[in-house]
Amino acid sequence: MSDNLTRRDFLLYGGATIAGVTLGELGRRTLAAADARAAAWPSRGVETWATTVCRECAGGCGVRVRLMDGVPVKLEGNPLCPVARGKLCAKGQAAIESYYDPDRLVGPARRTARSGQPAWTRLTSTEAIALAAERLRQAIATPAGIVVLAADERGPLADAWTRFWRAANARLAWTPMPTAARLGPRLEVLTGAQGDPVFDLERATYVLSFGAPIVEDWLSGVWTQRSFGRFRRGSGHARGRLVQIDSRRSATARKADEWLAATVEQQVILAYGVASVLLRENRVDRAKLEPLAGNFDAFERQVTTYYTPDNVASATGVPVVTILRLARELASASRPLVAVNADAPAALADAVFTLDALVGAFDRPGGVFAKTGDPVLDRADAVEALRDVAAGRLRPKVLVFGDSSPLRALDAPADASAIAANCDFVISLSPYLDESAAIADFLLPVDVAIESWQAMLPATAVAADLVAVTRPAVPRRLETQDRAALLQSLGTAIGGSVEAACDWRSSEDVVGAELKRLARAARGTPYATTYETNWVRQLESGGWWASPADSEQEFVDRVLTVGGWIDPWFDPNQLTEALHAHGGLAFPIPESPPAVRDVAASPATSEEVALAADVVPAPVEPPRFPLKLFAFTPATVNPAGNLNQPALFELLGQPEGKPWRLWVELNPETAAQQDIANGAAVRITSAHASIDAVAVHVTGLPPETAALSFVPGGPTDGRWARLVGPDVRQLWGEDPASRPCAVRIARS
Amino acid sequence: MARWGLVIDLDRCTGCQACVVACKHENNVPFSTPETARGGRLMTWLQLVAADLPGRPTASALPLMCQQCDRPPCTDVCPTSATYLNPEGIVAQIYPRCIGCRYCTNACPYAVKVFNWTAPDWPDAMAPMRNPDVSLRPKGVVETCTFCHHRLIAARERARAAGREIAPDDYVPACVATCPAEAMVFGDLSDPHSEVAALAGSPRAFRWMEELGTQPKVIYLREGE
Repeated sequence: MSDNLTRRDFLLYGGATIAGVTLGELGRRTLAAADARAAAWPSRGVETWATTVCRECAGGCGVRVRLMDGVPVKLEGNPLCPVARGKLCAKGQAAIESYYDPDRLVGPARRTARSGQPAWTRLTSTEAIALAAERLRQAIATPAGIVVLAADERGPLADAWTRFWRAANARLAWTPMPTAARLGPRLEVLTGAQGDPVFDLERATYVLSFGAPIVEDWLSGVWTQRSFGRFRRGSGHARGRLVQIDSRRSATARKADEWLAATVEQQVILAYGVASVLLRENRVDRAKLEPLAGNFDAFERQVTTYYTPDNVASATGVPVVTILRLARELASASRPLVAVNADAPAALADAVFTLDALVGAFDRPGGVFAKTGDPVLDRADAVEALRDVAAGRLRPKVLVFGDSSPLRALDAPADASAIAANCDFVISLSPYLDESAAIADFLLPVDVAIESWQAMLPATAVAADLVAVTRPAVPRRLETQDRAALLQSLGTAIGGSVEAACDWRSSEDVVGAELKRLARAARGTPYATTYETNWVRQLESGGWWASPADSEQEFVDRVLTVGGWIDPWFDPNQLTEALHAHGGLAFPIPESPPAVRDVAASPATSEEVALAADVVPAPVEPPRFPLKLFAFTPATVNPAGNLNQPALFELLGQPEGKPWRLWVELNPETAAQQDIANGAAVRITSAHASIDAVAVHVTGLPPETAALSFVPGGPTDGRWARLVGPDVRQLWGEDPASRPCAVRIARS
Repeated sequence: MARWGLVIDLDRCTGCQACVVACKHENNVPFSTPETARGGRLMTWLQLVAADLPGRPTASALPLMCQQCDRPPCTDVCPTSATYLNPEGIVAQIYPRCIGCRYCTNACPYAVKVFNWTAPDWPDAMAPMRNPDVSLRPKGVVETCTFCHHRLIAARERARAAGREIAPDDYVPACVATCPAEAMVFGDLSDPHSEVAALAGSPRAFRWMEELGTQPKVIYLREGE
C-alpha cells in the first residue's frame, strides 16, 4: 500500500474495486444470463418444493424452498426437521436474499494491482485454481506459511476442509459459533462428562439466566424460541418464570419477569452468592448430592465463608434481600434451571453449572443433560490469529478466509488494511462482497447454501444425534465453485500429501459417503414427524431397530428428500454416569472473598453514601469520558454468512422504531443530564474516534454505562451493508482489552 | 361462512421478527433504505412496536399489523370502495380502485395502512424472488395486511381439486407459519371448536385499543401471570 493512502481511502477503493468485480461488464453479463428466467415472470405458476439446510447460524434448521417454475421465491421451515419443526427465524427467512444478492461475486477474480488498489481481472476456474495452487505450493514448505480462517462447523464437509488444510501444513483457526459446544469444556471440568450440555428449557418452570440470550439466538435459535414459548405457556405445567441477569436490557431482559443489571464479573459473584444462600439455608438436596459430592465440603466451606450476602451485595450492588429471594425462588421451584450464554467466560460458566448441580438440575427434566460423544477439539481462535497477523507477529505467505466471520468479531481489528499488509497473498472463498473479499488478492467464491450439497451436524439442542443432509435445492446461479470440488482441484494441482488427502471429487462424494455410513449404522431414521420419531425411540430403547428402507439407495433417497437423519435414542443419565466415573463433582473452590467492585456499573451502598456525606468533597474536574461503553451484537446480525440482507437491517433498533440505525442505550437520568431525548441523534466520542448513533432511554441501566449496538457493515460491503453506519470498533482502537471503553455522549 | 381471526400470545412472543421478514417476502413488500425509514416511510405491513401494557415493568414488543376490524374505520371513509370488508371478515384492498387519497390511513387508529410513496423497486437480480401469487402495487396506493388472502385462494383451490372442504391447517398466513415461538394461532373464529376461538375467549385476551369499538379480529393474549 502506498504511503499516502489513508485507511479510509483503502476502504473506499476496496469497495469500489469489489463493486467493479460484481457489477463490471463481465459481472453484468453473468447476472443477465443468470436472470434470464426472470424475463418469463409472471410465471406459469408451477409450484414445487425442495429441501435444504439454513446456514445463517450453526443451528442447522431444515428449510423448504418454494420454487415457482424452478425459481426460488420463498423459504419455509421443514416440518420434519427436529430442530426447526416447520419454523424459521428472521435470519432464516431472509436467507433467500443471499442467493439473489445483486452484489454477489460472480466468479473467480484476481487483483492485478497492489493490495487496496482498484484493478481486477476475471479468471476462468481453471486459471484461478492453477494460480491459487501455485501460491499454496510455495507456502507449504514454510512453517505457518498458510493460515486458514473460517467459522467453526461440524460435519463431514467441515472435516474434509480440515483434512485438506492439515495436509497442506496450514495453521487452522476457527471463529467459535455461540453453540452449546463452547460450554462443553466447562461442564467437563465440573462433571467429567465429555460432550455438549443440553438445556431442557421447555420443561423448566423457573429459569435464572446469567446473560443467556434466550429469546435472541441462544445455542440454537429456532429450537430455543419454541422451547421458550412452551416454557412460558406449555401444557402440563404452570407459566414458567424467567429472571434475567444481564449487563443491558437485552430482548431477553425485556421478556423476563425480572431483570437485574450486572456486569459479567458481577454475575459470577452473584451466582456464588446465590449458591452460598442455598447452602447456608440448607436448600440443597444433600441426600441426592452427597453420593456425587466430590469436593463439595471444601466448596461449601469456602463459598459460605467468602460469599456472604453482605459481601455479594457490596460487590454487585444487588440488595441482600434480592439475593436471598433469588436463592429461595430457585430452591422452591419444581424444575429450576440456571442458564448461561455460550460465550460466557469460564468463571461464569463454572459458577452457573455449579448452581445447576446444587439445585439438582443434572439429568432431570427441565434441567441439564449431557450429549456425550467425541471430546471437543481445542480449536484455535481465528480472531487471535487475525490480531497476530495485524500486529505483524504472524506473517503468512497465504491467508485464506473460508468466510468473513473472523473479521466480524467485536475483538477483530477494525483496520483490515493492516492484515492485508502483513500477508503476501490473501485468498477469499466468500461468495459475497464483504470484509474478506475487500482485502483479498484473489477471489474464489463458493456456492451459497441453497446451491450446495449439505452434510452438517446441527448445534446441540435436541437430545438426539442428528445430521442435516440435502442436495442442492436450486442450480448454481453464478460461476461459483463447489467447496469440496475446489479443494480437490487445488489438491490435484498441488500434488503430494495434499492430493492424497482428497478422497473425494466433489461435495456430493463427501455427502454420499456420510449417507452410506448412516445406512450401515443400523440405527435412527430419516427425519420424521414427532410421532414417528418417538416410535423409533421406543423401538431402539427396547432393543430392536426397524430399518426405515428396503435398500441402501432407498435410505439415501429418503434422507436427501426429507433433509436429514436422526437417531432419537438418548441416554438421559450420561451426566450421572460420568460423575460416577469422575469421582464426583469437582466444584471450583473460591480462594478469596469477592473483590471486584465495578463502581461504574453499580450504585453506591447506603453506607458509602453516608460516609460520603461526612466528607467535604474537593472540587474535581469532570472526567473527559465519564461513561463506560459496552458493545453488543444484535441477534439479527449474521456472524458468518451474508451481511447484505436488507430485510434484516429494517429490524435493527426495533421495537423502538430505529430501523437501519445504530443505537445507544442510556439511563434516562444520564440522558437528562446531557439533555438527550429518547430518539435523539447523538455523537459518541472516545479517545480514539467519534461515531453517530441514536439514543434510546432504558430505565434500569446503570447510570454510568451505555450500551451500543455493533453491526459490522462498512464501506467495503454490499450496497445495503454500506448504509448501516460506522464501525463502532474504532471507538476502542486496536486494543480489545480497552473494552468496555470510556466515552462521552452528547447531542449531535 | 368462516370468520378468520388471529391470536397472538404476547407471553410466548419473543419479538424475534421472523414474522416481519416472512410477511415482507410473501407479499412483495419492497425493501427500504435508511432515508425512507428516517422519513417515516418504511414500507412494512407488519411491524414490531413498543407498547406500554398494564402490569409490565417495561414496554412490551407488540407485533402490529392490520387488525382486521369487524367495524373498520378505514372502509367507511374510502370514497372509491377500494377498501372493504369481505364476507369472511378480511379487510381487503382493491389497488386499481385506490386513488391514494389517504383518508383510510388517517382514519385507521392503528396506523397500519401504509401509503406507497414510491413505485416498488427491487434490483434486477432480485426480481425472480417476488411471489407471483401477490400483485405488485403501483406507486400512490395504500397497502395493508390481507391475512395473506392469496393463501386462502390457493388453499380453496387445493381443497376443491382434492374434492374436500378446506381444513383448518390448509390456510395459514406467512407470519403464523414461520413463528418459531408458536405465539401465533390462526383460524376460524366462528368455529367454536377451533383453537383460535378458544384462545380468543381466554381471560388473558384483549384487543388493541378495543375501547374504540372497532372490534378487531387480531386478538392479543396478555403477558404475565
